[in-house]
Amino acid sequence: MNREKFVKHFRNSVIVLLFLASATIFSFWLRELKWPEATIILTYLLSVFFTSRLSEGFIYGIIASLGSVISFNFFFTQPYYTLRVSTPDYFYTFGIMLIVSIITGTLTQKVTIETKLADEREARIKMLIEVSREFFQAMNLDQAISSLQSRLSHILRTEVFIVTYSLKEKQMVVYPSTKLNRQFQKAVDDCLKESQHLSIAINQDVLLRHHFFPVRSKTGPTGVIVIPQVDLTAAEKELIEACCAQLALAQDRQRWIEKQQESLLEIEQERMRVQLLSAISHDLRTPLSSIIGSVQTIVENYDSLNKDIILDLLGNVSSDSQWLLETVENILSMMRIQDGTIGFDFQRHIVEEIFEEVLSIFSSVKTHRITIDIPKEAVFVYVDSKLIIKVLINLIQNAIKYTPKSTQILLSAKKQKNMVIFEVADLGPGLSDGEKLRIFDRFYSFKTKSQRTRQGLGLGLSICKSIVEAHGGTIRVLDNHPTGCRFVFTLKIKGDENHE
Amino acid sequence: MSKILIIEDDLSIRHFVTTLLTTQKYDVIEAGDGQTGFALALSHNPAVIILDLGLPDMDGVDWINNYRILINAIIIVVTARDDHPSKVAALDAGADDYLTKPFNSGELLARIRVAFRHVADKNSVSSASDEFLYRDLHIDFDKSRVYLKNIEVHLTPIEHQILLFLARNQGRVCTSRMIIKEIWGNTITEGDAQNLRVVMANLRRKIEPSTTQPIYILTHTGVGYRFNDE
Repeated sequence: MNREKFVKHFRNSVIVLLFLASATIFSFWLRELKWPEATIILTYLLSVFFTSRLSEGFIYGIIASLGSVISFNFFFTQPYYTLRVSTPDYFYTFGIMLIVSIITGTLTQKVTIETKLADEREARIKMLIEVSREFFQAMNLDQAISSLQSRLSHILRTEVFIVTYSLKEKQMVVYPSTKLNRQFQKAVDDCLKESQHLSIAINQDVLLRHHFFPVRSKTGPTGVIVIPQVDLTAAEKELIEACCAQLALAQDRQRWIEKQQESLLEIEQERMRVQLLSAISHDLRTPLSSIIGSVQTIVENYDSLNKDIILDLLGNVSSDSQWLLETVENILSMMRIQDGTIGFDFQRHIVEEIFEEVLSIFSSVKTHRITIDIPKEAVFVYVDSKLIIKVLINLIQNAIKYTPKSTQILLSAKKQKNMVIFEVADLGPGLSDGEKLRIFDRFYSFKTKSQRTRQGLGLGLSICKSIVEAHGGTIRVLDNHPTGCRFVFTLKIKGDENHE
Repeated sequence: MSKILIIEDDLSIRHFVTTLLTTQKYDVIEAGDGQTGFALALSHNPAVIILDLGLPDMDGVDWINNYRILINAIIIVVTARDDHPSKVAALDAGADDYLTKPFNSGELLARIRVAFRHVADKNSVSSASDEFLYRDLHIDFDKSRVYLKNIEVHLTPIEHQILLFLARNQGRVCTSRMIIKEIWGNTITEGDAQNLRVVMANLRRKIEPSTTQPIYILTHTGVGYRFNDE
């Protein structure tokens, strides 16, 4: 640092001497030409002007001014090479020359400094605008902070660290990613605690310090900008503080967005729960009343009812209880999925084993023919087998329910890259585009012509969707040729690392 | 010889099962809790026990663990918990078969019929047959050969061992753990279950007419495998 100062003084002194010498040499030549003395004075003034323009600090302008007057006196007034003067009116000339040169020097100096300051200010403002634009547009706060860090390093021409502190997770992140040494870590902690600018002196030097600027967001200090080993000007401090404010604002905004998303999700879940509850209470009561009514009728009128009527009533009881069972199972699966994938039993299963289980469930179905199409080799999928079997069962049950008797249902699977594509295709009437859009919505149920089948809660397909998505896959419905629809979903062959 | 013990705390279910089995001319005894069930099992020596896993006085799996060694009957567990681990635990403890609530009467009767066939087999097993014949599959234990429609099937040693193990336990659900323990020894990891699935896939391709509708070895996804006996 002292070395730096020395270099600066040396450079300025060289400038002063250089211009003074040039002016003097030039003036000798002017005297040879016998040009008037005034041109020599003007030459010196010009040298003072250049010196002030190129050197830093008023003092060099003044030194140059004094030097000019003295040189003029020494070299160009009679008697030559003495500081004495022949006529006293020269003092007047010297006085004027000194005053003019000092004024010229200081004015020039001022202009120089001001231009430099204006440039710096402009650069800072430009940077702040950029930073705020980046923070505002940032989808990813991390990236914006990294960018702020590099911009700040660039403009301050020194190393800068930004430490962010998450109040929720009690976690610190350093940009660029490094481990702070113990002294810095302690200072960062103090700065967070006191929420005040902190500067630590290094050695005995008064100006060079480590600086710690707190980022104060609405919820408290959430970060520190660390600038080691610099002498900061007031303007630079202001700039850093402005950056802190920007960062705090961006963090607040981020938190606010997260909070809003969370509460939106909560509202949505609450709405669904209410909707589900009302739908359940209605849809469970109906088959239950049918069961209770049928059974009571039989119990109370056993002797007067003929066998056919009794069997008919009991048939209703059987189908209604079957329906109740399906509904309860669906509700249970949905509750399980709502808790996330925590309770899932992910394993690598072979597709044919899953199909085998699905087919065994439909082995008694005589109305439709279920055909299979799978690759010759064994294909793995990474799934909770019970849930995926449930998806296939729901899809096939739908196909059986909504397509004409003795049509074919195709159950297939094929490998594609790291996915397996499953498909349940039927040859029924198909779906309109509007139905295709809404079919995976909760509580959406088809309009059936048959009066015998009880309308479902419309949970089946929305559960399929939730299950497939919980496995990281997607489900869609497409048109089948020549008629009918194809339910297509994808599953991963391998799990993510965090699953395995 | 057709004596069945039902250990189940729910009165309606017990009543329905008893009624159903009585119509099929089975001799039925009932118990409402595990202790009574054990006492009745010792005194009546039933051929088949239908055991509910959720008993008021003890866990069904513990019941099997404690008493299996003293009881010779075929044990069919009934569970309302629709999760694989409890079924697997019961089978590993020594249960022969399982049913998930709600089950229908047809299912129950089918399992009981299978169970009685086992009882008959168990009694005749003393003759230690050195041959196994089921549909088109013929296993010669002595020569250690397998034939399908009289043509020899070439199996790897592991495939061969697994097929023999499942055939010897025909009709019984063998959990993956049981098979792995039999074939590879004691240590069982997640990777073993996956290896077993690969071996089964290969075995299936060699003996089954269809990989998704097998007739010899049936899959109980997440639980294990069973050699068909219907």
